[in-house]
Amino acid sequence: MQDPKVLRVASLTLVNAMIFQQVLASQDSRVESLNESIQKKDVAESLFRAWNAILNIDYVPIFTTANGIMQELVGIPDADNALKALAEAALRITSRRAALRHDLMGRIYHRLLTDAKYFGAFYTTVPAAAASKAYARSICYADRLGCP
Amino acid sequence: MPTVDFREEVVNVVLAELIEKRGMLSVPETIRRSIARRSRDLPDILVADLLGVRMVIEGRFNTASATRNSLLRDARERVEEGVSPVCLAVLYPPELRSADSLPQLKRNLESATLTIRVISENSDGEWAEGTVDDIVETLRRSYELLVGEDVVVAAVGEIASGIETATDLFTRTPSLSERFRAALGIPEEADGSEEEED
Repeated sequence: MQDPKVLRVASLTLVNAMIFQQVLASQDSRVESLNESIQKKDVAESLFRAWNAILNIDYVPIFTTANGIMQELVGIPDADNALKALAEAALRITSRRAALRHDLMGRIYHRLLTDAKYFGAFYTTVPAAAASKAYARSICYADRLGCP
Repeated sequence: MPTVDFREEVVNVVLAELIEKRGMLSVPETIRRSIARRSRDLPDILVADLLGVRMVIEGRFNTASATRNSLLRDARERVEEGVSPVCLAVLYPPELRSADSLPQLKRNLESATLTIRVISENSDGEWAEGTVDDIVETLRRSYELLVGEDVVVAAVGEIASGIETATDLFTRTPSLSERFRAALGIPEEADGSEEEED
């Protein structure tokens, strides 16, 4: 049976990588632009190739999982239309560069991931992160180790 | 009285004071004092308070055709780099540079037609001609837009809409959910879609 939450998390992972691809393309000529990738005949395959090329440069944490998902989409009917819908959203975000500031992107993902439509279990909430940091620091002081 | 050539930074402060007089802006006291003391330690850009929102005024004398583009580029950078959510870009007519005194400069500026553009997190704005009163009106509209349409909410809406479209299309391929689950490393027992789906 289809699990919409898994599909949404996968879609979010893909759109995140698309935003990153477009930002990289504006700074590095080795990276194909998102627009170029989605103009090609087989969108899934062209994105898979573009992301492999990015992985050869670096950015492993962002593109490894995303490319794992993309690999599953190569040759799937309707995949190209779905990817185009995600790419259009990514391009609208990247066209407003103020929205790309790291503090804003953080707030965007917080908003999305705290929605019940996504897996909260895989998201470290801000209070949990703060509590973990406080705990780590208390251990640090107790052991008289240098703290980060 | 001999005329004085004023620097752009001074004209920026005088403009900010004129906007402040119309109830739209608050200029830091340190900047005001620097002008009064005729000190040279004025910043290149002026950061002021627009009804509680940080705002940058970036002004240039309109002396070359390239000035407009470089001013727009710099103003965009202020917003993109998070210096402030709003930047007022102003091109001053070159004749504003010279005046007998600071009060004269203020009078000249008050009656001048300036080329302005307000860049904010929500909008790139458009170039327009206007007086100080027009700037105040433009700033008021930009402020209302800025506080009324949060850029985060707009971006979340765009991403969420794209995700919903993609999810609907992905559901047509029955095996995708399991394949994605494996690629994402989500264990089977994490599935709580029935209780949380809305």
